[in-house]
Amino acid sequence: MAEERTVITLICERAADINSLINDKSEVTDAPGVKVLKFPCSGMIQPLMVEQAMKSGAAGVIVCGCQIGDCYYREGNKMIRERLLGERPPGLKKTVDRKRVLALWLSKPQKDRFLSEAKEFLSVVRRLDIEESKKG
Amino acid sequence: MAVGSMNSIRAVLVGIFALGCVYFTMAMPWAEHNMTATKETVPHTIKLLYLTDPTIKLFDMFAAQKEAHEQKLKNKNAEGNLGEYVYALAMAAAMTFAAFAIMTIGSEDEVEKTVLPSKN
Amino acid sequence: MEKSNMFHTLFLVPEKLINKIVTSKYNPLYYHGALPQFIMYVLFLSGLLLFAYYVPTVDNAYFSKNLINAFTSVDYITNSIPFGAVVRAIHRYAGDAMVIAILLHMVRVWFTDRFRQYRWVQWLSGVVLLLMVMFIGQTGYYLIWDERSLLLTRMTVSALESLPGIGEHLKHWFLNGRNITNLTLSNYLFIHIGLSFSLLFALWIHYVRMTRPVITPPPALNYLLVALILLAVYVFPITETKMADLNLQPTNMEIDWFFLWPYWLLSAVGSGGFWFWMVVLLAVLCLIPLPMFYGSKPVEAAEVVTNKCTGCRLCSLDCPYQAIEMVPAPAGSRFKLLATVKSYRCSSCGVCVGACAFDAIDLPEMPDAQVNLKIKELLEAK
Repeated sequence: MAEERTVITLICERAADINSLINDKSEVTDAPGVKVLKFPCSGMIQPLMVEQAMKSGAAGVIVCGCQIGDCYYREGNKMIRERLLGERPPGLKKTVDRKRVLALWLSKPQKDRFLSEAKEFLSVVRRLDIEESKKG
Repeated sequence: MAVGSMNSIRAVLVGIFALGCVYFTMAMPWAEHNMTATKETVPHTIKLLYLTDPTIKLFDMFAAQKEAHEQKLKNKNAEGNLGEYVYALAMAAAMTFAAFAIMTIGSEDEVEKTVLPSKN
Repeated sequence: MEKSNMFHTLFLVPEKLINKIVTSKYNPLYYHGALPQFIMYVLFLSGLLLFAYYVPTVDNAYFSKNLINAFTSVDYITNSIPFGAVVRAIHRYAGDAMVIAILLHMVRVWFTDRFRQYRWVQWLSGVVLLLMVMFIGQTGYYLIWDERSLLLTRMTVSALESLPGIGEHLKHWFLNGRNITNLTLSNYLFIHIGLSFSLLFALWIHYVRMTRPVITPPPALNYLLVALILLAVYVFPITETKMADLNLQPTNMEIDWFFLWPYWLLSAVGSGGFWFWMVVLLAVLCLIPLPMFYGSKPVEAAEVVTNKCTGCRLCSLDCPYQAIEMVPAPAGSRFKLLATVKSYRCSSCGVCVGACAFDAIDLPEMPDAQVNLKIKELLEAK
């Protein structure tokens, strides 16, 4: 059985307020396996960071920013969204498995939505892990 | 209304909104000529499309409201051609329904979640 | 953010509700800046149509059937031009909608904390824009030249006269002479139209520190806004008023609260009190961006790692606040351009960091190396 890998969340400070969901080890209490790193704005997230996370052994990466149209710094969430979709340079390397990247655009009070999406994503990537380990 | 793909409920809603838009748009030429409907005041385009008779029937349906609108506007001491205020009301309704139809179609894309398209 | 929970709930609850119904793409709360811009187009168009028939004179020395002055020209528009009354009403209610939209914009910018430090130019130019819009609206009510206009003119003159030293000069400027004459009305028209077009210049300053400002709401929202104005046209039709007569002293008038509330204030507290409260209001509005009142932490501007920068321009193009300028690279560099950060414009958001494929720009509080280290730490900890 494949070792249960971690999902890294790259989230901005003004998006969904998940402070109450994480413990002092930056892990989501109700979804163990999902770890969180905060940025001042989702626009700061480089596709390189997503690649770095995957290379260092993450099962998947969740990128979370504010609602599209309501970024506190105006355009950050649009920027990272377009970079992930390949519509804006710099892009995500072709070697990164797109099925293991999820982007969410949630406003401050939407922490429940974040939790449900994170749990679902965690089970999806773990299933992918199991399938891939079977293929050998 | 849940955000998601175009399903039959949405399609029906879009149809209703579009019909509402057309209905109120037809009230505009009726209202413009002081809320009276005759064969002469029907817009030329409708005559070209041979739709004059159903349009006159529709205008007759609207005619029942002429008194109510005139009374309301006179009570407020409205100046100018009263039919033109009713024109504005009809246009407001038509634009509202058009906006609802557009928003129903446009909101089918997921905006809170982006899944990256994968080639495999 | 230090704003209280009550206000947060006040704004976030309707925002969440609207997002559920029409999605963020059509949420008017996310276009609060663009809505006043669109209303301005409606005002320009309806205003130009009215301008075509307007006559800026006050002559009513003797009343004749063919008397032509401002009031009769407005009357002609209302009663004889097809849709004249409707265009006039659209112009009036679009003006009111403009004041409401600007206030909503101001309140939302305030509550979402988007006015401090690097955003001070936007806030101050916004205050100037608000003042211009208020004055334009007031001159609009003077132009009708009915009894209310006469009363407003006289009240304005008394308020201006009361200012020490410059009062008499301001009165003469305002009336374009010593008394109310045709020149007065043409002065009002000049201010009304001239200031309106000057709005475009003030808007340039309002937008200049932002890249790709959002100035167009989606068409569906534009239709709803026009529909709302047209509904107001039907519910509040134009009513008849009496021509101004310089020999009479009208004392009562109905006021449009959106633009004419300063006149209510003037009649309530007199000239002295009026100017006092106006100065206080202006000072409060202008001082809001001062960071010292809010204890916001100072912005640490992004820093370019000059030896890694390739001059690809992505950070400069992506920066939301026009804070990165490309300059010619120093002699001896392999590349043509070098990015430089204007620290007084930097918001410390990090969009430039996200744009850089060469790790050539960093936020000092969270450099790239530290991010990668943290990611590794999270993955290795069990």
